Amino acid sequence: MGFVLQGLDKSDYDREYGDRELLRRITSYFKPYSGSMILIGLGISLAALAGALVPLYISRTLDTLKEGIDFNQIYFLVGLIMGFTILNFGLNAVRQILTARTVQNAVVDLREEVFDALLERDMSFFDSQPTGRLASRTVNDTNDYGQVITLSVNLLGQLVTVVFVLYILWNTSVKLTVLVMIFAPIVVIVALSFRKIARKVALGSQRILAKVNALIQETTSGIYIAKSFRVEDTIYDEFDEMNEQSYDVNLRRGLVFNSIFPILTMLTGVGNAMIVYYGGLSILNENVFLARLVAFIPGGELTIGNWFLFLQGLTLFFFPLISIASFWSQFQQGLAASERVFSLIDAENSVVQYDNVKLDEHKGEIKFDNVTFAYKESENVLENFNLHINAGEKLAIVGHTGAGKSTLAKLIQRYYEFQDGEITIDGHNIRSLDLDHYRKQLSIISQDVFLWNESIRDNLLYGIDETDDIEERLQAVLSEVSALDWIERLPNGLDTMVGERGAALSMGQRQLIAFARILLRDPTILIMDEATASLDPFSDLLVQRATNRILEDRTSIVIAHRLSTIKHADRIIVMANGEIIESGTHDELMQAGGHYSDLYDTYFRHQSLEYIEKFAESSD
Amino acid sequence: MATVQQSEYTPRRDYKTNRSSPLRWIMSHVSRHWFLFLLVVIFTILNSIFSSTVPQLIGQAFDLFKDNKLGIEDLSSISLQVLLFGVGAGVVQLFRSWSTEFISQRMEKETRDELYSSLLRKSLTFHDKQKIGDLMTRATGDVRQINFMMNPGFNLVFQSIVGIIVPITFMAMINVQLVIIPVIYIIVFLFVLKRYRDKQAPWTMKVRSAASTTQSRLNETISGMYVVRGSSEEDTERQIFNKNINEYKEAQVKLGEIQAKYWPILILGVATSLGFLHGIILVNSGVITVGQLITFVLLFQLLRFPTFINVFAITVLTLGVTAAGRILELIEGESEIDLNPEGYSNTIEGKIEFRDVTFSYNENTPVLNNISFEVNPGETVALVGMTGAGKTTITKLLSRLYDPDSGDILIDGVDAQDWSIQSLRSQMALVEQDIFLFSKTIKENIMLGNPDATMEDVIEAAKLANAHEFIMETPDGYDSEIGERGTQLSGGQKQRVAIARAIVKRPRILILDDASSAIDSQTEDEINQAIKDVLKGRVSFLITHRIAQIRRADKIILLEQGKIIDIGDHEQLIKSSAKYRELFSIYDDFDEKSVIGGN
Repeated sequence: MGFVLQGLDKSDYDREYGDRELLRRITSYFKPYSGSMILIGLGISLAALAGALVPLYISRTLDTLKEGIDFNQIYFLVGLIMGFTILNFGLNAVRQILTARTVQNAVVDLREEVFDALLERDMSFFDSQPTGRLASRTVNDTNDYGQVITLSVNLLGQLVTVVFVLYILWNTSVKLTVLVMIFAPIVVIVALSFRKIARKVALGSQRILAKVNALIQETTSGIYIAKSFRVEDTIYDEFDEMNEQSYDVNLRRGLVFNSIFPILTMLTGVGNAMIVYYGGLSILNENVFLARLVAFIPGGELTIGNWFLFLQGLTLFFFPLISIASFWSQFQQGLAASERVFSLIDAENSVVQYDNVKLDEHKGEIKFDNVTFAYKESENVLENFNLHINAGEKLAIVGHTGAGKSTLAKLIQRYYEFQDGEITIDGHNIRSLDLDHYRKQLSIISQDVFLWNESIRDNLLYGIDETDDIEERLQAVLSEVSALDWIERLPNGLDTMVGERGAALSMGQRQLIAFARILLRDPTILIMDEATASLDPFSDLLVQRATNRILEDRTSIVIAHRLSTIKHADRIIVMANGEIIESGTHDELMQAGGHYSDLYDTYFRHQSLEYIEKFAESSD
Repeated sequence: MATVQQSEYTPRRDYKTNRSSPLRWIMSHVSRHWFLFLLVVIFTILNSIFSSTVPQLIGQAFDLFKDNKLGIEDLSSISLQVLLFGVGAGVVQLFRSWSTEFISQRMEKETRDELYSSLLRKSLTFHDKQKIGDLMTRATGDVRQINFMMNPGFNLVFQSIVGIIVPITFMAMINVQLVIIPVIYIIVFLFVLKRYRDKQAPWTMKVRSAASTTQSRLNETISGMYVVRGSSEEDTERQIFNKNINEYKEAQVKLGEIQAKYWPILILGVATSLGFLHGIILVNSGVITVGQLITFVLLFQLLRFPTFINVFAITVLTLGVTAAGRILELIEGESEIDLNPEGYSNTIEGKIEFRDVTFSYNENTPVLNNISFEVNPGETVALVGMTGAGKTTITKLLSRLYDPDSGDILIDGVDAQDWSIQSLRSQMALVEQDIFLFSKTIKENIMLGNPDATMEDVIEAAKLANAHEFIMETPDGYDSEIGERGTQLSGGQKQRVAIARAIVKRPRILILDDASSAIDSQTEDEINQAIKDVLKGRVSFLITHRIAQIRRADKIILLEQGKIIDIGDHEQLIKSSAKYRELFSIYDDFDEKSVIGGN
């Protein structure tokens, strides 16, 4: 009866697509498999029929026992019973296998479509969604989508069973059938009410349990400190409280979930008693009060076999009924999951490309001409923005958070579509460029260096043409960023695996590898968001040197956080509120004593030798 | 290296459990709730008996009817009994399930408690060797497995076993011959069930791993989407994705095929038909009545429950035992440092000497290789080097978390191994890399360093740690609660509270592992001031990246791959060490020549 408990832990989502539209779309994925679907439908109906015939023939057999046992007939009837049993099993097995294959095929089709859609989305799309959520939609929500079909197929089977069983019972005794059908709503109501209660308990406990779990983990990680201060009792108290809470919440949840099966058993017990009593009454044809109640319903005479049939029919009838009752909310969840998947596919791009100009000049001259851009309507981040970056220039951008630094960088990367003005690259309108070709000439280094969970070599060579001299080129770039020494010292050298997101390497090492990759790629334009995490002085030195190295030989735009980077720039622009308010070299700007010198004071002062010397000489 | 295990702490609750094997350990936990367990057994048996009585009653009614002896009183009486036993079966089932749930939840709580208490008793060395992630998994995940092992594991399996024995017994009570076919069925069933489990298990794992591979690779692709596009590697990524989802599909389909061919269902159906036939033969020879035949058929159908048993319930039993094994491993784990309570004990002056110290954590590559240096009382030592150079290891050897493989460590001229650990550690304080503060008031957190501290001591320590000002700006000052339920402190503020906590202890040796990075100059000022002030008046070991701090140190030790490459103060090193000079080469106002050339 586990299905009654399924899907209680998931939360509701907003729905935008209509149910009918969704269903149509979902079924469209199964059109290529309509042959299999028909077979499945047939299979499940026939299986249900065969299953319903088994108790029928058992009851017939029982009836023949009254008139003296004719073994030929008995063998025949028992043979039929066995035959239907085997048929029921066989058909069910076949349709289950067929369903699994068909559903999985349709799911693969959908997943491929989702992946293709992801490859086409604007880059800004990925900014607005957590990575984990996108991956989960592609893998888990598509599973739930498949479940919609499996659920529906099962529902069909159950409906067919219920209809067959009712038909057989009705033809046997209308009166008893009516009684059974009056009982049915009670069972359904119980099942539905249970689901409602259980769902509330499940959702409520989920939140608390997540918190309690986190706290238990925290107190476990704090044992070391607690012991260093000999305060084991203190941390134990904290732990104890959490442990108790976890117990209380889990227990309450468990008690609720464990009640459904017993309650349904009780209901079955009542049902059985009812059949026994009323069945017996029909046989006796007694004029008792309770019999008079239902006297108006036709169907009096009852044989032993029929009596038995009703007892069996009750069970055959109840389980599908409960499953049907649980169907709707699970179905809704499947629809919600499908909707999430479709919304991924349907998302619209805003970045426009109206031509296929391939950027051949490899100069890297960038011009912003009266550009206006807003993420949301009426909230302009950039307004009538102008900037001319020369080919090969090293440009540093500084400013407080929200000044527009990363927006500027993202517009060059074609993450977003701007509303007004023009951006040209090497004289070409950026909207006319073949985006794929353009991106190849662009390299990006973000604060969080990205590495594949593969070897250092594979990371370096990703997407790089492996020419004959590739080994020499590799060695050359690695030594230019001072990475060769320590890589050679690693147990597997260049073939060392870097781990998920580069976890097996230190932060400094990750950055150096990313820098080496830049040199190998040799892009025309480099956009860099300098990392701010602190490294040990030796690694820091290497990274600073390597940073200066990669900024050469191309147009480099750096959102700078290091003093040395700023000092090495050809030009610094100071941004505030989406505008360039100051521009020049470091010395020029410091002399001017404006916004820049404030920024310097806030973010860069402590990186200077002057600060170090002053601190060193300060009195105790 | 002595191996006497002396406990540093006695836990409040002592669990006297049998730890000789995971199974025995689990059973000793179950036996703590022997009464509930007894109830479970009784209720399970009653449940089955009640359920089996209903067919009996129905059979009786049928016989009475057949012999035309069925009167209204008999019918009413039998119907009432069917009602009572039927509903009774459900009621008893409810109590049984609840009792099992109580046991399983209590077991989770108590095994977790036992694990935690035993962890508290282990030495610092033991904890230093653990991976935090591991500990947390054992405390949450593995303990949860033991819970599941009881319910649904034991719950369903025991119910099934009883649910086979009782109906068959009832059948035997009618006539012994009847049990032949059911018993044969059960034997065949058990055999087929085992084969099914063996077939299904690897594919269940394959499905899970295929799903996880697909998702994590996709995660990567999405994270690196810009790189993918920028390198025109879309086709490569597509190929990888397709390969993954097809493997996932194949695994799911294969698992579905195996699950569809769950033979026990078929065998039960066939066996029921054969049993039915057998019963008719017996009716024919007058051994049993038609009513008893009906009882027999209904009893046979009770075997449906064990047949449909969720195979997972069986798997969960073994998973629970494996989890118990992992937990026991932790509980039984030991560490090797002798506390040496009779050892040398005195106020530490602060003369520290490392003589040719070599050390490795796991007998592979040495982390420290023939390290020698001397520190004088009151000096600040800056340990500088890349990750893995050996800086933290030196501090761990100093506090005797470990002992060197060779060489000596002397504190005030006395070998560290001759000191009483209690005496040593009570005069040392550590500010760790990842700050851990309790969810208590700031005052209480600081006082952890010294429970006997007065409010003046606390404020003095906070001032020294440059924390007093920001503390006074919090809603309740020193009485502000921090953590989940209280005020959230920034990383730098947490660090300064931790520094105050260390200082209030008035340690003779301070170890400060400073890994934080400052985004702005003001925070940098505050931290630097705090660190600067607390280093005085004691021997301080500073692991830091901050050049400002390094430059001020009395002794700078440059480490590379476990070896000291240079040692001295700033003035000395700037002249003698090329490596040290290199660190300053990044400042363009650094005049290298003038520094080397003269004064």
